Amino acid sequence: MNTTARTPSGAHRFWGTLRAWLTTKDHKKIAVLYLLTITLFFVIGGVIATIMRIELAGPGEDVVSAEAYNRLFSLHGVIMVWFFLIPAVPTVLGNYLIPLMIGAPDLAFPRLNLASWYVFVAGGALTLVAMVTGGVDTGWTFYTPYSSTFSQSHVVLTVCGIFLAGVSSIFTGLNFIVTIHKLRAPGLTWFRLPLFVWTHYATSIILVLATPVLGMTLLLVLIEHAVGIGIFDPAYGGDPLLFQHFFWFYSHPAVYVMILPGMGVVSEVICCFSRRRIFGYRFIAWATLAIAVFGFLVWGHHMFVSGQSYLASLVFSVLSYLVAVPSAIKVFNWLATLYGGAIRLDTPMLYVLGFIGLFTVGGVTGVVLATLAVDVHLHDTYFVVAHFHTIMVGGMVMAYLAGLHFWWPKMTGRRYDERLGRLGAVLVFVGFLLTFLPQFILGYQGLPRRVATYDERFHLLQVMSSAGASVLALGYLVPAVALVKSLFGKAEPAGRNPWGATGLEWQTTSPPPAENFLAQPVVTGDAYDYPNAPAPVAARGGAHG
Amino acid sequence: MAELHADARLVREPFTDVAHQRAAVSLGMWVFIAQEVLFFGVLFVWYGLFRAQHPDVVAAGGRALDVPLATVMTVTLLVSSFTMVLAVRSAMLGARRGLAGWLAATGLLAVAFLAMKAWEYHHHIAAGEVPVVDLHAASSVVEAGRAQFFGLYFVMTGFHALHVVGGVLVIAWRALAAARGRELPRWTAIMGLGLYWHLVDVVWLFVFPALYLAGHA
Ligand SMILES: [Cu+2]
Repeated sequence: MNTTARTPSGAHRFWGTLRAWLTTKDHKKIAVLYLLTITLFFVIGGVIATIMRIELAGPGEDVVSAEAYNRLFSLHGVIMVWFFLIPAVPTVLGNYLIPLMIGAPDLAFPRLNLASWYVFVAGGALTLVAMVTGGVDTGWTFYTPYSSTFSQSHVVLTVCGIFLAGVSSIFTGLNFIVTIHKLRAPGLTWFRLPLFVWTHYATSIILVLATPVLGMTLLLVLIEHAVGIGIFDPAYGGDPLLFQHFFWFYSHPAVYVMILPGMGVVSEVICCFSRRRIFGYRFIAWATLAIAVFGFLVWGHHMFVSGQSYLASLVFSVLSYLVAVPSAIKVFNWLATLYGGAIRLDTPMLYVLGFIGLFTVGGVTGVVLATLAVDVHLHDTYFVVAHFHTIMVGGMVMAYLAGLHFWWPKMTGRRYDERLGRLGAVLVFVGFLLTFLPQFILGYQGLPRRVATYDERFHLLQVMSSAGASVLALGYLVPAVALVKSLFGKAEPAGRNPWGATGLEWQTTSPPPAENFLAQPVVTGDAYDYPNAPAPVAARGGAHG
Repeated sequence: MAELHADARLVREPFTDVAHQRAAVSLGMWVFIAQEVLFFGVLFVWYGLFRAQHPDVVAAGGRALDVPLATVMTVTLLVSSFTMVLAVRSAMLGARRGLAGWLAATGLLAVAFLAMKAWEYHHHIAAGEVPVVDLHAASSVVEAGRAQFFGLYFVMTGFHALHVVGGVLVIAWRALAAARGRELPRWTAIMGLGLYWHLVDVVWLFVFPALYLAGHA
């Protein structure tokens, strides 16, 4: 490419390729566009987190001012939530895999799919413009009056960016719902669907029903802020609790948007690397839907100290316990699948085992926080920070990396260095524990979050957390190197089915042709027929146990 | 009803035939409508809460609105839904001229609605019935009053009007395409447009009594 790029025909070809990519309606190429975009946002969010951890290594305002710190944690939250955690698995893995898994040539609305990417990029661009021109200091939650009367930051621009990201989410969710309903291969009944597809179906329902609430709420914040109409801000005669209700009506279900697709990845990987049928398929499918439905009923647990009525808090607390049930069902089913399986510890499986452990910790600490009396103590402390990072970084990011490694050979036709991959998985897991275990303790001791400075007695644990974060950062570099390296030079070809996995996506070539399948596949059995699956092909990079 | 227009050229990737495409487009449109309901739902929750807390303010506000004009607007939208149905029918039968004509009629009615809306806005703004709160002029605590009601009024009718504008643009585009007659009318798309238009109509049917008829019981 480099040698030909200098000649006019080479430049011509370069622009032609770029144009083809930017106008593609192929879900696989759009998934790659999303992969690049989302990786960029992950890096930006990660750099901001790094600056914060450096600042927190010392108790005073050492590196950045308190004012700058407010902007850093706000942007870290905004970018990571809306431009990484929510879209990552659905738009990259879901986009790539759902048509393949259901034996379809594409998503139902290919042009809408491309449009969703452009809208997403536009939203991201607005947010980045807001960021470099000063950012926001409201936190990612935009509570009024931080976002109205007392805002000295780029609320309007950032809110527009998030609104566009939400529109993109709705496009994606709508597309997935119609695709899963209408484009399944002959014989692929609902209860033969891979669980990855089930989780994306549930996720799409949440995206479509929760995101518009966020969208309208943010528009109202914008109108209030820009015009001066009293909606949420008490100074203008508005109701700040109403904002919190709307915001969490979206943002609690959004947590399941972040985690459910990851659970789909886990179900696929765990079967493949223990060579077993998933235990309790229907339980997991129904639990997935139950999580999506219950997720809409628990938003008030974010408002225990907001002044909502005691009865409301009690009801929300009990409902929040209930959400733990379907989540626990899934964990038990995964463990039962592992039990007695021929377990192989390839890179995706290492990530998945990390996911199960950390998701359990995150879930159990979530139950702790859902307990009304305990939450009054732990609210807005590092315990909350540690809890949701355990679900998000320990859960969602691990699952995303598991999925990326698992389907990378399918997407690229190449195998990555297995030893590097495993090293990355171990580093990410260890780095995670070192970063966030101290934060659980800090929170329990009462250290409030979102403050740049802290008392001297928290110093040791904060330093430990910052040190752990550098291990975590290193951990993220390793898989990036392993995956990118596989694209260059003489990487090992993947073949159709390197892992010996079941599922339609493994029956076509790697990468698949533009139309996905040369002949329409027909499904005759369940998704996890591992007793009769082909044997995995060992990679050169490492031996299989 | 005559036979459905089922030319193979109407079918887009990845669908196998017109019936398949129709089922997918209509499901997609219904999903879209579901999210619109949630989108407007936020406004109605805001409205409901405000009305529960300040019923007298809402009643007084409703009496300040122009009910006869709003009734004409309601009828206009209802008729436009009817012409839209005829447009969809023409598209399904492959009747290009009928489609162009009925779409044009729908678009004109929608523009008439917007014109009345604009006149109404102008009237209220000229009368000082605006929602903007001036923090420097008022005392430190703003009482719930006319400004809050007009906040509801402008925001709710404003978002509805934006949906009408979006509809008008698409209707005009499709009507021109049908009138020029270069391409066959893809009736699955017109059917989706029709569903959208009915949604816009239905939203108004909730906005109208909520705001205009409050205080007239
Ligand atoms: Cu929550």
